[in-house]
Parts: sequence; structure tokens; C-alpha cells
Amino acid sequence: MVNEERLGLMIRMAKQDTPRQRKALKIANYYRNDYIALAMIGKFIQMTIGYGILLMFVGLVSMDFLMDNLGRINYKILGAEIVIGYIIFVGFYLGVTYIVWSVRYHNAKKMKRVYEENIRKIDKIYQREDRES
Amino acid sequence: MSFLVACRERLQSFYGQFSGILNVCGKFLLAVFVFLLINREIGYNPLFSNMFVILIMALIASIMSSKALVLLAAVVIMGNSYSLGIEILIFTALLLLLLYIMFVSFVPDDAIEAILMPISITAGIPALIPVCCGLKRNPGCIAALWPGIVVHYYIHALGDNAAALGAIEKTEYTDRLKVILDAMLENHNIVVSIFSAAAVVIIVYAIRKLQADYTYEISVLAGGIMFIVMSLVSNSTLGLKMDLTRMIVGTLIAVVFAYVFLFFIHHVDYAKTEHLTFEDDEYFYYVKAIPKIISEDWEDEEDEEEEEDEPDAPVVEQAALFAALQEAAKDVALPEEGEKTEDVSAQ
Repeated sequence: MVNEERLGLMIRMAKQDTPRQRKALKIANYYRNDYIALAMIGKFIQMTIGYGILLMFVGLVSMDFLMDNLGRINYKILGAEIVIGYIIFVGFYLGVTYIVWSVRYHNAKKMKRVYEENIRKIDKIYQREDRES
Repeated sequence: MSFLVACRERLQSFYGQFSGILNVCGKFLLAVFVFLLINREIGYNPLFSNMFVILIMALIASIMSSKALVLLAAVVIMGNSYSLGIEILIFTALLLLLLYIMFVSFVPDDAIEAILMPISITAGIPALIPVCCGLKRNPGCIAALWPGIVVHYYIHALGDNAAALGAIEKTEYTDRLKVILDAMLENHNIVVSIFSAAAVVIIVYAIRKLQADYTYEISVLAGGIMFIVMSLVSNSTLGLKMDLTRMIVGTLIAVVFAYVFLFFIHHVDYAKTEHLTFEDDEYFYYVKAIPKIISEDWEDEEDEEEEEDEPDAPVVEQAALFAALQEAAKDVALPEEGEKTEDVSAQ
């Protein structure tokens, strides 16, 4: 005899078994701080590379100005500007990373809670069926 | 209208039955279209212009995720850039890497929009993708639209300046790069498109999230108006020589297409809205339930087909399975896309 309740739960779980959920379950296995810290380290490296590329493009655009004013440029101020730009650039993106990855972790945890709740319900139904049989 | 609703349900049912093969075919056609579009602008590399190579790459893209299509499109762009010079290839690779790091890496699941945006600009309906993104996604997808816009104008700059590049000595690397960079920086359309796309996505998303009737329909219209206003303002302030008639007609067509898209994702009957109030031990619930418009003929036909298919099946078990399936479908559907739009507030 088909157990409607268990069947419904199993169909629901099968429907939710998407790559998105599998990814969410993996994310939810991390501690929150570890997950966000790992992302921020990765983004820090990426953004440092990105800032380097951006500086190259700016240098290319300002090539004529740099060549004409090679002796007149105050390199201390230029260096300070580059460092401040780097701090603002990386700081902004790390802030965005923190927010985005926090939301992702929160959503993953929510999905995992629903998943575990369904597992518990199915387990209870199986136990009840065992007792009845 | 009921005929259209019935057609929509037949289409949805057809898609549901053959979604696997339709997805592969759709991705294949999209990939072929994208590669041909790139080659039309900068088809300087005989290898990547070869139809056989295009079909092979499209085949690979069709069986993989949409991210593979983005990657293959980047390969085609870089391959064609190489024909213009090694420095152009390096510059293109760095530009694409920068766009990935700064934008796409934050929304990898929306990467396909970076492909669709240049297509909609080329088709003369640049407002379409931002409006659809605002309807279906969240403002985060702006990060996928911007690289699409930049790449579209970059490819144009390469195509338009290929002759100028050919006239400069191959060893004059910086001069050759400056030609492309200057062409990009002098093109204010990039800035206008970037700001317009962001404004449209935000306004469409903000309006459709309001808790009132017809917000989806109004948001599409507001998105179209916002796009026209942004284009007109930038046209007068930046002194762009924009073809206003073409822009307005393009936006109107985009709005029409967006309404067609809306018809498939959110078609509800506001006249039959129900306001329910109930309570439990801790809360009062004020629920607003808006029914979806479903063709009655289609429902009847489906019931008849089911009866004809399995006349001998045990009725009780069939009903139980149907109820379980309905339950599962109800729970899986997202609130904003599901069968009922619910507005629950608790006190």
C-alpha cells in the first residue's frame, strides 16, 4: 500500500534535488566564518590582480602625459594615490564579497534546514511503518 | 485571451515533456548565433570563421552549462583579436579577465545575461534584457549586464578600427593599443548604456516588489519609460548623435516582448484577488492570494486524456498520487513565480 504522505515528501525532495541544492548543502557544511573568510581571501587575490590590470590600462591611456612629464611628476604623491586607490578598490570589493557570501550562506543554511526536516519526517514515517508491520 | 492562455499552456506542457532536448537545441542555436555575431564584427581569424569549427563549438556549448558558452565566446573573441596582433590579444584577454573579476565572478549563475545583452543591443532593443532581468531576477544581475555592454562596444571598436590598426606598424604596440582605447573612451554610448541598464533593472525590480495590484505590468512600462528618459537626457547632455526614432521604436518593441515574457512568467487575475485573515496562538495573518489565469478547456482536456490513458488504474491510488504531486509542486514553487502570489504580513 502506497503511503501518500511519504510519497509526497519523497517527490518533493526529488524535485528539490537540483544542482543548486547540492551546492547549497556543500556550502552549509562550512562554518559561516570559514566560508566567508575563504571567499574574501580568494577575492583579495583576484582584486589585487584586477587593480594591477586597471592600473595598466590607466597607464596606457596616460602614456603621453607620463612621457611628457617624466621629470616633473611627484612620485611620492603618485605612489600614495596608487596605494589609496588600491585600498579603496579592494576595500569596496571585499565589502561586497562579505555581503554577497553572507547572503549565500544564509540561503544555503535555510535550504539545508528544509532538507533535513524532510529527511526527519520520512525517517519518522518509516519508523512508524516498521512498528505497524 | 483564453485562446492565448490555452496556447501558453500547450507550449508549457510541450516544453515540460521535451525540456531536455529543447534546452540542448536552444543552447546550440544561441551559441551558433553568438559566434556568427562575433564573426560578423571581427571575423578576421579564418579558423574561428570556419562554419565547421563554429558548429563544433556550438555543440560543445549545447551539452555544457551556460558558463561554457560565455567561455567559448571569449575564446572566439580572443582568437579573432590575435589576427589583429599579439598586443590586441593580450589587451582583450586582460579586459575580459578584468570584467570577470570585477563583475561576473559575483554572479556566475547569471553569466548568460552577459551574452544576451549584446544580442539585444545588436537587435536594436537594448531595453529588453534589463527589463526581463528586473522582472525575473534581482538587481545583482546588473553585474552580468555591464560586461556584456562593454564587450559589445569593444568588439565594435575593434571592427571599426581594424583598418586604422592595419595602417600602424606592427611594432608600435602602444600606438596600436591607444587607437582601441581612445575609440572606447570616446564612445559615450558605453556609459549611457551602462547607466540606463542599471536604472531600468532597479526601477523594474523596485516597482514589481511593491505590494499592490498590477505592479508587474506597471514595472515593464516604467522600465521602458526610464530607458527612453535616460537616453534622451544623455543625448542632450553628452551631445550624442543618437537616432531617437530608432531608440523609441526599439524600446516600444522591447516593452512588447517584455509583456510576452511576463505573460509566461506571471499572468494572474487581479479581479479575483482574495484577502484572507486568520490567526494562530502567536500571530494574525493577513494573506493576499491572487489566482493564476489557467485555461479551463486545457484542464478539461487534460482530465479527459488521463481518463483515456489509464482506464483500469486504481482510482484511489491515482488520486493519491495526483494529490501528492500537487502538494509537491505547490511547495517547490517560489512565492513570486508560483501559483499564487501571497503577501503575508504578521502582527
